[in-house]
Parts: sequence; C-alpha cells; structure tokens
Amino acid sequence: MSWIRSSRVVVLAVLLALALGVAGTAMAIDFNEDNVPEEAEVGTTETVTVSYDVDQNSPSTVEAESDLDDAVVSITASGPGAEESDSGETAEVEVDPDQHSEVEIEANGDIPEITEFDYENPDTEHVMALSVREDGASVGTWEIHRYTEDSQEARQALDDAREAVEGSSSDGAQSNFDRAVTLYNSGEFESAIETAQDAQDEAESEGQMLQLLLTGGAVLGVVALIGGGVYYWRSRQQDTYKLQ
Amino acid sequence: MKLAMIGFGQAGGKIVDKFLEYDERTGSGIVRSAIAVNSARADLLGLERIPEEHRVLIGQARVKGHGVGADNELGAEIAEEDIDEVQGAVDNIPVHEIDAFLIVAGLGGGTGSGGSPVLAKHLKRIYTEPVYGLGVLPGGDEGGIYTLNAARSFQTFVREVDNLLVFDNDAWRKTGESVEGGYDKINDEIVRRFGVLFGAGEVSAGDNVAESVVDSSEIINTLSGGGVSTVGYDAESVQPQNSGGLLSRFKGGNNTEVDSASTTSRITSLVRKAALGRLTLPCEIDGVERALLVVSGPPQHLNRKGIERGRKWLEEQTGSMEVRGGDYPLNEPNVAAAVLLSGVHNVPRIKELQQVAIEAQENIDTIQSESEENLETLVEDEEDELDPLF
Ligand SMILES: Nc1nc2c(ncn2[C@@H]2O[C@H](COP(=O)(O)OP(=O)(O)O)[C@@H](O)[C@H]2O)c(=O)[nH]1
Ligand SMILES: [Mg+2]
Repeated sequence: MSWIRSSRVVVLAVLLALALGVAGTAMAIDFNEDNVPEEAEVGTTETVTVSYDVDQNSPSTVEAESDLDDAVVSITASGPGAEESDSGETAEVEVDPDQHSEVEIEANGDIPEITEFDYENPDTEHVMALSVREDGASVGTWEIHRYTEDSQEARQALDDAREAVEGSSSDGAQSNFDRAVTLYNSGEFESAIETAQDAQDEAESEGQMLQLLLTGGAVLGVVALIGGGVYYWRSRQQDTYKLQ
Repeated sequence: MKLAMIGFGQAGGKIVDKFLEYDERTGSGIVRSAIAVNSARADLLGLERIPEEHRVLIGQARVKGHGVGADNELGAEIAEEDIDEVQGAVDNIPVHEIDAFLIVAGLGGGTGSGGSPVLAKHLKRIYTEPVYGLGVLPGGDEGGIYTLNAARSFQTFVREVDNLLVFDNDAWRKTGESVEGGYDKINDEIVRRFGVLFGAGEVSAGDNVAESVVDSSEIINTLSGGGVSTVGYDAESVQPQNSGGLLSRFKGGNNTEVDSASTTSRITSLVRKAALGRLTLPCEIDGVERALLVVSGPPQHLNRKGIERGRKWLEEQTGSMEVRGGDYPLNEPNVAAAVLLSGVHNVPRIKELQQVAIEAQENIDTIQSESEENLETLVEDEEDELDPLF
C-alpha cells in the first residue's frame, strides 16, 4: 500500500518538475560557450566567457555572479550604436533589444580550495564559476571541476585501479579499491594512491593468473598444479601468521 | 588478554569456534575457556573445537532442542529459565585467570539475540571481571524480523555489558554475494581483528618484549566507560628479517636495521588506512570517546615515532584526549595497525537499523490485528446461520 502511495508522490514530483522545466525553458537563452574550462587546479586564475545573440522582444535585466575567489564578473551588452556594461563582484545590465544585438558575460577569479572530496560524485568537487540570471530567473550556470596536484594524482590512480578491478573478480582487489575510495574522500591522497595501486596489482595479478589458466593446455595444467602446490605450501607456511 | 568466551546461538558458537582455531594456529593464547550455549542441538553438534562438555543446550523443556526460530523474546525467556545450566558451565572457568568475559552473538536471530543480554546481566551480578559483548548485526538483505530482533537486542545488550563491540555483517557483505555463503570469510575477518587486539595484551615471555607493549589494562581502560565500540584494521607484508641467524651474526654489521623513515611512514599510513577504511561497525570517528592503537609486526619494523605519530593523528581525528597506543611485537613478515574506537556516537547504520525495525514492528502489529478479523470473516458464515459444535 505504501508503495503505491509513494509511487504516486514520485509521479507528482516528476510532473511538477516537468512543468517547472517547461516554464524554465520557455525563455531559454542559447549561449555560446566562448571559453569554459572543464577543470582547473586550486589556486590558479581562470576566466569563463559566454555570450549570446539578443533575440528577445522586450528589455530584460541580466545579472551574473561567481563563486570564484576574488571574482570579477562583467556583462557587456553591445549593438551597432550602443554599449552598456557593468562589472564587479556581481554585475547587472539592462539589455534592450532595440539597441543591443549581443551580450557577453565573463567571470574571472581564483579557483577556491576544495572543501569536500567525493570520488564517485565529482560534481561535489566543482566550483560554480559563473551563473547568469535573466529577470531574476536562472538561465545558465557553468561549473569547473577543480583539483589539487595530489587529488588529481589520486583520482587518476583510482581511475586506473577501477578499470583493472572491474575486469577482475578478486574480492581483495575490490575491497582494497573501496578502501582507496574512502581514503580519497577523506583527503588522504597518499594512502589512497597506495591502496589503489594495491587494488590494481591484486586485480592484475589475478587477471594474469586467469590468462595463464585459460590459454594453457595440459602443459600449463602441470604448471598450475605445481603452482597450486607451491601456493598450498606457502599458505600452510602462512597459517601461523596472525596479521594477515 | 585472557578471555572466557561464551558463544550464544549459532553465530556466536561459530565465531568462538573460530577464535579457538585462530588461537591454536597462531599461539595467541587469548581464549582461556570457551563455552557454547544454544537452544538448537544441531547447532551445538556442528561446532568443531569447543569441548563437548562446554556445550550447553538450553530450553529443552520448551523447544525440544529445535531452536527458537528467530523469536528472541522466547530466546530471552529460556535463557532466564535455564541460567543455572549456563552457570554450571561457567563454574568450570578458572575465573581468577581471566581478564574478562566476552559474550559473542548474532543479534538478528533468536537464541543469541535474546539470551546474550540475559547472560551478561547475570555474569555482571556474580563476577567483578568486566563483561564485554561482541554483537553481530544482520545483513540488510536478511529481512525485517532480523532487523527488529537486532535493534531490540542491541539496545538491551549495550545496557547490560561493560562495552559492546559491534561487527556489522551488512558492511562486510560482498556485492553480489549473499552473506550466507560468505560467513566463513567474514568470521575470519572478525577473528583476525579482535584477535590482534586482544592478543596484544598477551605477549609471552618468549616474544621480543619492546618498550611500549600494550597490556591488558590498556585494553580494559579503553573499553571502560561503556558504550559501543568498533575496530579498524589494516596490514601490509614486509621483507622477512633474518634476526640474529648465524649468518647475519657472521656478517656482523647492522643489516637487520630497517630504514627508520620508511618504517615511520609505513606505520602512519597503516594507522590512517585502519581508521578510515572499513570499520567493523562503520561510523564517524569524529567524537569517539576513547581509542587504542596497536601496531604489530617484527620489532625491526616497529618504532616509537611511527606509533606516536599515528596516535597523535588519531587524537586529531577523534577529538579525544584519551588515545592510547603501543606495540605488539610478533615474528612474522607483516606489519598491521589495529584501532579500537570506544564510545562511538555518530553511527548512521544504527539509526537506519532502528528505523527499519520500527517499520517492521508496525507492519507486524497491523497484520496481527487484521488477522483476527480476517479469520473471523473466513470462519463465520455471512448470515450466522451455522452453530459451532460446542
Ligand atoms: N558474522 C556471522 N554472522 C552470522 C553467522 N551465522 C549467522 N549470522 C548472523 O547472526 C544472526 C543470528 O543468527 P543465529 O546466530 O543463527 O541465531 P540464533 O542461533 O537463534 O542465535 C543472523 O541474522 C546473521 O546475521 C556467522 O557464522 N557469522
Ligand atoms: Mg541459525
């Protein structure tokens, strides 16, 4: 019963979202992304530039803001005979379709420190570089994925490990990988890299073993038997260990 | 640290059996005595190492050795009724030789879930030794009744023991694998973690005794103050060292010295991985009341600086000023860090467990109240023309 009720709620929410979406797109602006970096290192200075051709029928107020550090935002509306512009921490310009044919919006500032790392949801690491409103309604937002040297290296190590782990069925590799993700998310990049490499090594060594067994025939069967014997012997040896 | 372990119910019995195996294999000497208590005869028969005379069947009069079928209220009742039989087995324990009791049980079932809080209460009344619990939470896929059992037992068990160490099956379930199939491996993980921790206080004369070896009282002090505890763990292999063999003595030199910077950084990295990786009960470590760090491995691979740094780091992460640390020297080519976090508060999993339990309880109540009506409509004819026999 409660399932039905909750699914009704979901349907309602979807309808509502659709309705809002339609209202939002009714006045959508077709932006040209003149310069929008996808990602940037923390502390570097970046510029985001977008523009659009004015095709509205009536005058509108365009505002822009940015979460970059020490951001300067500027809006320039220009036409054959007129130019209107504003800049500062935020900017606001009256765009008049009778006078202006193009609007350019720019944000310049430093990439702020990352407060939360999330390997699986890189969005969390984004910074909002530029957000534009027209008559109070949001019409566009541009985000930049940010990283530090260490976080980037760790993310790369995790990406590599993930590929290896996904292709293997090793539980140990998977649990090491999960741990590497936890470490990454808590900002422990050095340990994350180490653990990701452990995961990758484990996954790959398993992969190689598999390859060996698959391609081999009777000869390899013997090799495997010996290998198995050695493994058994070693595991017997290890049996008295407490730590792993 | 020497423990008297009592496995209550099936999971509890199996885990204590595993502890005995670990003890035997590694010579840890943690389990001074082991007892299994169950209402299911078959479960007791399935044990391998717990001596037969230490296996106690309870509730025979009521359930005839067939178990309580995940009814933990019944589990608690028969434990209370037959507590003397359990005490009979406990009487064989040389209590003056143990540092504490450890009652082990799966909290989602019936016998262990209901009986272990009853036993804890009883032991605490009789003995001065601390009584700890090791409670296993059910996997999330086990269903509402197990969750309800676990939530109720958890609440009671925490109240009755001096500290409840928790292991969450759900966090250790491998994706795509049912917990059932994986119990053996999971039990190995449980035993290794708690084994290293309790083993730390049990360095025998033959082992290399270092300056800062953890002893039982540090474990007890970390656990005292009560509440709920979780354990983090990580290990790494190192090059086996030839410590003091004839050849190395001949060569002289200090080839058994290990580069101290890398030793330190290995230890600190292990400590982080242990605390931030998968805990036996996943939780936020910020706000933990007390912690104990045990770094274990060959003496050449242990150093004070590493342990001290790891300990400091734990202080920062937990915000607690009561973080103890020490080493547990062992001659094997592995280095490990075990972190006991005692008095954890921020545990989303417990809140989730309680939520699901409340829903299950409500669901059960509704079905029960509807069931009487439904039966009535089924049995009674519509016009009430039929009469019962008598
Ligand atoms: N870790 C672990 N958990 C178990 C094992 N067997 C059962 N469980 C868990 O323990 C819960 C209680 O089951 P069980 O011990 O059989 O109940 P009891 O015999 O009535 O006390 C189950 O819901 C499982 O979550 C085991 O061998 N290892
Ligand atoms: Mg059972």
